Amino acid sequence: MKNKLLKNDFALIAAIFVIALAAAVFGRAIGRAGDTVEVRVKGEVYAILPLDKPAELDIGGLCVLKTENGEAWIESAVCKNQICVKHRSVSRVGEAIVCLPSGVTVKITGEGGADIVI
Amino acid sequence: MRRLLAAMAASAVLLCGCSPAPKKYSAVYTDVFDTATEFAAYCDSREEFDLYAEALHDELLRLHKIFDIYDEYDGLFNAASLNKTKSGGCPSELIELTKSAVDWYDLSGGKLNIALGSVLSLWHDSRESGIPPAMEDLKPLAEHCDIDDISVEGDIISIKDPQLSLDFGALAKGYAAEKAAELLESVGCADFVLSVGGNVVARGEKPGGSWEIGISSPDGGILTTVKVSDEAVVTSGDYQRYFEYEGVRYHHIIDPQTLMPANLWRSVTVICKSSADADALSTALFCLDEQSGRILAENFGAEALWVSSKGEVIRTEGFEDYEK
Repeated sequence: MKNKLLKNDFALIAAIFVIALAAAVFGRAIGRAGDTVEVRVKGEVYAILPLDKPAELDIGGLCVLKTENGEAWIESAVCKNQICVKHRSVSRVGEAIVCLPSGVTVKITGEGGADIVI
Repeated sequence: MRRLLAAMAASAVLLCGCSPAPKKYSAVYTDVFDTATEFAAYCDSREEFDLYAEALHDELLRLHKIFDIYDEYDGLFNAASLNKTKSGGCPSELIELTKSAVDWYDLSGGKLNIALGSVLSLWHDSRESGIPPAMEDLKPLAEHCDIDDISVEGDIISIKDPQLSLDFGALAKGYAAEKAAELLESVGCADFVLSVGGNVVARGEKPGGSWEIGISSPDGGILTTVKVSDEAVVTSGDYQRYFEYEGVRYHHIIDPQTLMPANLWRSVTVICKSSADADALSTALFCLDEQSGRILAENFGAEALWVSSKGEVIRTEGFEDYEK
């Protein structure tokens, strides 16, 4: 009985170790998760939204921003090149999406993490 | 005069402040160099930060006008004026960058060519229309891109070929970021990070250590982060400015020798002391093979990271020292 418990404990410790190692490896590669997304139009702060609940924001008729599960992305935009819409969703502190034709910038903010992502 | 006033005002703020813990402030501009500019600094008050931000914005606007090839401005002989008249007395910044660009042509084996204006202008129109240019339209324009047709004497730049036009797009942002950083330091801003369209200049530190710059992966997400204090970091990538036509992506970095978007790399990141050098190097390395790029980077004491078209990541030895 005593041996069996030890065996299970060992398996549990091994599992935790593997998960922690994986988190350390992958966590390092992808930066720090953000808390909020800061939306600016021509440099002026337009809105700051939390990333932890689903939301949809019409940015002055220029772009539509969506947030869900810690990520933010531009769902649609009136600009011609649509680079902002094709941009993958952003979630890590410092990551940004820029719609130059409209002067809209969307940046992930939070404690710690990168100051600027290029 | 404006600089002096800003310096005095900033000094006054610094002297009067009872120094609480500095807070992070940031500003974004989308009206200079056809790109997004980000500025962040730790300051004792919003007033102090706003003084720096205004001085920075004024300086970037001034430099933007000098290197603007699309518009002319009252009382200023700028790059657009020069392209129109082919000769004239130019502001010192235009002289300095033109001289440096002539050197870069040789250093990069012709991969950096400010005389490529007419070819780049056709590509610019293509980005607007969404249809790539035909090679038969590009080739005749390439006949008018000879760097030796540009001469600088005193404060006068002359262009011999009447069909040649200049384009400072590959160099101006990095140069401007360098100049703007010098101005910020001169008005008393010691710890800041500035990105002019991805041309990052870091000075000093933030509370708790070096500035942290994330490098995007070409397909989204962050590839790696680097920690810098007094360096410049810049990335040239095929994902920054592009259009797609019939399933093919046409990005903005044109190889002067093929007249087409360079396709060796997805992105190249360069870290070195000077932002002007970093900008030129990242564009040159984007068009050069790994071996030539390594030699060029080494000559400038620069570190580099390449992402190949197959997604393979290559680094110079010293690049790793900047990664966390």
